[in-house]
Amino acid sequence: MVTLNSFLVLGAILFCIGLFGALSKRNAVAILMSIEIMLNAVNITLVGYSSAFMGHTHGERLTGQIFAIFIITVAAAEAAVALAMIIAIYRRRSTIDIGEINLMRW
Amino acid sequence: MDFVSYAWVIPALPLAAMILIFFGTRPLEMLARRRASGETAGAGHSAGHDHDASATDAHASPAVSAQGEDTHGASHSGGHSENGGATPFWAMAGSVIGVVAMVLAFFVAVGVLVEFLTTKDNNLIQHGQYIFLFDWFRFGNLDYTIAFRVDQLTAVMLVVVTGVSMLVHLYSIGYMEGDPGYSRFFIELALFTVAMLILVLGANFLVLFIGWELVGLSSYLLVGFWFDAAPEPPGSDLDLPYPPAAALKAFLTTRLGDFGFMIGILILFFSTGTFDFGALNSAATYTHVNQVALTAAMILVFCGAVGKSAQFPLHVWLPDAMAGPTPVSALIHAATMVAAGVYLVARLFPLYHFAAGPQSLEVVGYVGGFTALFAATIALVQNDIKKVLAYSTISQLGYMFVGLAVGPNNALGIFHLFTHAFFKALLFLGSGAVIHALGTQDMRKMGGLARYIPITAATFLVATLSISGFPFFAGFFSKDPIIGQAFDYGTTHGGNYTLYGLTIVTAFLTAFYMFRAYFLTFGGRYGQIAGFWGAERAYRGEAHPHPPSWVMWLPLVILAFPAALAGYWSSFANFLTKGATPAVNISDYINSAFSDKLTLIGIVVALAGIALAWLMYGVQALPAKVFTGNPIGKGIHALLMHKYYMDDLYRLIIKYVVLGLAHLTVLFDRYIIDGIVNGSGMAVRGLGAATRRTESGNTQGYGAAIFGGALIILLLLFFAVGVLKL
Amino acid sequence: MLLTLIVFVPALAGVIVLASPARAAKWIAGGFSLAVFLASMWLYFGLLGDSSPNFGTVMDPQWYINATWIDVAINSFHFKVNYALGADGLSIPMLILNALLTFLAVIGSWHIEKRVKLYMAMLLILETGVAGVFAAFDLFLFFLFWEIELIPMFLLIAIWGGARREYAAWKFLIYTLVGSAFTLAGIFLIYFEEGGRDASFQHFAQNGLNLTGALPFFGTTVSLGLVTFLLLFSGFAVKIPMWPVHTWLPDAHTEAPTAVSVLLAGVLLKMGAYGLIRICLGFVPHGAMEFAPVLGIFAAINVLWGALASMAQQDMKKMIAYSSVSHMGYVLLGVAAASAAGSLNLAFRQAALTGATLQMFTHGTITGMLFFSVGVLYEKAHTRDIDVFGGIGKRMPTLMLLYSVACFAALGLPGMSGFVAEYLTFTGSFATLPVVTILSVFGVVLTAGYLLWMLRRSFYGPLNMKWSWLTDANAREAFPLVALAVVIIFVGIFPTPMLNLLAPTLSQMIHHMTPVIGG
Repeated sequence: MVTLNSFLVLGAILFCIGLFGALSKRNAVAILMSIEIMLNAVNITLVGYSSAFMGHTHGERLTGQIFAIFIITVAAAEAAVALAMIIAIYRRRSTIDIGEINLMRW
Repeated sequence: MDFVSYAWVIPALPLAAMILIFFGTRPLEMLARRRASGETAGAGHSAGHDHDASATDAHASPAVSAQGEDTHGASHSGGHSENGGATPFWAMAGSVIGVVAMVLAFFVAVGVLVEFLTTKDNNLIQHGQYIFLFDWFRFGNLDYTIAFRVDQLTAVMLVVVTGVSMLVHLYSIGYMEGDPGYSRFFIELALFTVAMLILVLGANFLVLFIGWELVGLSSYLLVGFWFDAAPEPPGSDLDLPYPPAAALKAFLTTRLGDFGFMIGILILFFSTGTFDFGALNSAATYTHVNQVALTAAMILVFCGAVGKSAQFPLHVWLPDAMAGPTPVSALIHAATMVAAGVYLVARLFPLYHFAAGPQSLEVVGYVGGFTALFAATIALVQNDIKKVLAYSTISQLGYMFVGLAVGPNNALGIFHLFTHAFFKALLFLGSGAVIHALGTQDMRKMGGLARYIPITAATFLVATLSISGFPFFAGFFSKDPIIGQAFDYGTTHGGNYTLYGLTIVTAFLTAFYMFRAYFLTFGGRYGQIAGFWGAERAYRGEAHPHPPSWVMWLPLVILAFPAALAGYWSSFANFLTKGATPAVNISDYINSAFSDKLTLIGIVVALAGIALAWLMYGVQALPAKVFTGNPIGKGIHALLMHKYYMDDLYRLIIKYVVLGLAHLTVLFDRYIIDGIVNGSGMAVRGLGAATRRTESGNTQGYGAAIFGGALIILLLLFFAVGVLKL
Repeated sequence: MLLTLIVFVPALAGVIVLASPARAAKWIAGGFSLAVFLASMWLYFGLLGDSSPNFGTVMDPQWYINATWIDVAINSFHFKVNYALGADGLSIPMLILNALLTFLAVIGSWHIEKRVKLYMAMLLILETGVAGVFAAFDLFLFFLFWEIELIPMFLLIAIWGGARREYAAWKFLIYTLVGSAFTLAGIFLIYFEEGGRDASFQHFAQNGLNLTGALPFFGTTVSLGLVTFLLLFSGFAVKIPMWPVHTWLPDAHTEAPTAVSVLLAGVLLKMGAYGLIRICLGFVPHGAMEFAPVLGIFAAINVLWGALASMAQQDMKKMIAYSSVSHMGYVLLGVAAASAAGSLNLAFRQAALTGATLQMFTHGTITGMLFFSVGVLYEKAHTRDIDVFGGIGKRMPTLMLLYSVACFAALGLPGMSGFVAEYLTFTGSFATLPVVTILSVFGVVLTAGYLLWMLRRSFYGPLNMKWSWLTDANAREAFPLVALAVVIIFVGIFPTPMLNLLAPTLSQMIHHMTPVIGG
């Protein structure tokens, strides 16, 4: 039986993995991938909650899934933009090490 | 003719003269001078910007050269006599305008006095004539009115002021001849006359105070007339005042007195709601007024008089004010302005005498009496002829205050003011003639001048006799009654004869130092009439004395008459008190003056003073060393020479107390207040500098902070706050 | 409409100056400021036409214009700002003074070469801001203009100032902003306490007496009136400036160019005093009454502190700046005395308040004249140090005459307007605050001391040959001085028209306060 708890635990694990990656990786592409993992962790959580609690009709139970699809779509667009930025940064500065990109420093 | 209602014409005339000279003849004079300098100097003075400056150079250069050899008083007078340039046409025109205006004003003033003397209109006698000019404002029942009131006291003052001013104007044409500031001098002289007339005409404190401050201004301007003079070179023992410093000192010292005066006015105004002298002097105003406050107010008002009339302890400015041209000393610092304090007390006499407590007049009397003696002692040792006269003025003003304090009415003090104005103006103008003739005011460089300038000497002698209280001269009739009344005052005040003692000793000293001055200047050994009429051999100076021109000796001769005869106005008290005291005919008046044994004592004392001066300086039988030879005498002499160290005391107070406080405020502003202000600015910047370090630009750090923060909040919600429960 | 023109034509002229060639800038600025000055004179003469001229009160302003500008209502929250301009006896003299001094400032700035277009534009925009403050009849509009004025003044000091101009400009700006932050809080407090529907002056003047409640304050309560008063007064106190928040003034004055110093002392300080009288006194009489004794003490400190600090200065401008602190103390004294509790003749209160108001006007002219005089000297000699001069009166007789006139006016010599103001203030305030008044009267002695001492050190005595090349003031330089001297002497001799102008407004104010403070 796949209970809500399983969804949530999986989501939490994935989120922590993503978070760890996003905070610790130096490579911008790796950070982007970690963020994607975090987004997917959220998607799993949403889908899990949706199937567990949301209403009784078929349509109502789909709300979480729709959210997840939205997020996947947005994440795709986001990935495209982010990769474009990373490429632009690489072209300018020949590095994608996040530690060296500190233009926002005080 | 109704002179009294047109009394406002009297100040209007010099005012018109002032405006005419300022906007009319003075610019014309400048234009003429500029044109002349343009023709002669050509390109050198192409701009022609500094007409006055180029002219003052001419004045100053002899002054600078004179510094080394002589005193700087010499440099002034030497400056304009050697300068020799005739007065420019338009400048002369300006001074003529001034003289004409003053003659007309004097005519009107005499008309006013005559009208008061002859009128039968009881209302006019009792209340005078009120001349309303305009209101500043009325707030409810408070009036700020500009108005004049002419009564007997004012009428007397008008004649004194316009008369002396007229003669001084005339005299100045000669004395100031060729001075580069000639026009300016007459403007300032006219300004002074206007202010003094406003002062005596004022119907209320507001107008009086306006005049009071404006005479202070003109005194400042005229004392500092030679504002570009150089200070006295070190080493001169004459201690000649430096005009810019003297002007400042005169203004500030009188202002210090005015501080008290103003507070007195405030108390009176608050208590009574009026500035008007008519209302203030009527007893009905005081039914609800606190006696103590009133007494305090009157003493404070007297502070103003102390400043203006140079009484102890604010007397220090008057000797220094001698830095002004001598005609100014005659008009302002002898005859009129310094008497304004006496006038003020006389004007408010009913208030002092009836409304306020007896302490107020006691203060007036004791300050006056003490000052009279105090100044007389300093006058004993002065070598500067103008300084002697200055201290004598202070001393005589003290007499006037004593006269007001001990008298049953204000006639005693005012009568002495009246006679003193003439003989003291005469003394000053005479000394001016001497200074003009010699170029020095050091009496040690004079002597025997009666041979060279006999008219001056004769008139000076008349004035000297008058001030010494010599019988039959004006000063005798005005001064001896004060001394006599001071004795009566002692009798009625529990045998306290302090005031009498002060005045009688001062009378002796006055006679002594005045004749000392006379002998040192005009008389001396080898002279005729036992040294009274000096000889060439008595002359100790080098410069060749030249006699004054008619514009200078004519005022002396004119003044000699009132200086000798003003005392014979027998019904003065009757006139001034509006008939409250009985009229006296002239023979009774003279008889009573000599029948009183107190008067005889006064005569003896005066003669003793004259005799001592004659012994010491006339025939020089008794050298001054007799007194100054022993250590005590030497000490006293040094004390007197240093004017009891009052100036030094004030200098120390100003330097260390006032300026010390001033610097403390600045330091407080700079270090405490700005310290806090800049400190808080620094603190904010420091805080910013510290906290901005967290903005590392490292996005991962931001991410860690976000999630870490979220985690902390969650944990807090779980455990500390307990909002969420597991 | 006239007021709208007076307020906004200068700003428009500023834009025109910016858009036109640099060599025309002075002429355009001069022409417009003269026109605005003439228009503001009409504020007065236009009302004289009636047989009984009505100069208006706060309840009945003249030249009144009122239009809704912002009106937001959300449930009980109502935010309303009207474009309301009006003039009464209190504001007409200030508007005239502002226009006069701006005109003279343009003339006095004829020598400016650096970025002259921007300079003239800033002067004109400053005029708009200040005129707006004096003409606004809506509290929020008032505050808007109050803040607008800061920008041109900041730039004028920071760009055209002396060596430490940036420090001075920032100090001025931050001091003022901190003060006006409290004022804004006070404005919100009074706005919402008074119903929160109407910010017009008439509304507050009518309902100000209702501010009688108490506010909890750390376990105790403080009177609502006092809190409102203090909040509002904070900004005004900085502007006046009142000790101990006065230290921006000497720096700003010393660094600012001459004409800007003139405006700063002449009209900007008056904004503070105007706010104090119009808003603090008029709208919060309870608070004014409670604070009056303290305000009186501050007034005396201002007078004496400013005078003593002036005495210790070497820099002429700094000395005059401190003398402004001293002279604005008389304004504080008059206001404190007018609002102090006690039952007595109302006329004393009115005399004190009239004196204070007249002092505002007269100080503007006198200090303007003093600053212009120093400016003439500084332009030639490039120093303002009192002691490096000596005997220059010989070279500059005209300047010495005019400078002396200004000094004597400042030390309260009769025949000049300073005396009228001081005399009225003293005679009025002695009734309620005797001790403080006595202390303040002593300031008159000190004032004479430092001004005449300065004249003595710089102008009198033998000429210091170092300055033998100095030339006297020319006609262009003398013009502002002569113009101000004429005003000063006219008001000094015949202040009646001026006092009649003030009377209805102040009388209404005093009578309005009577139920609170006793009469």
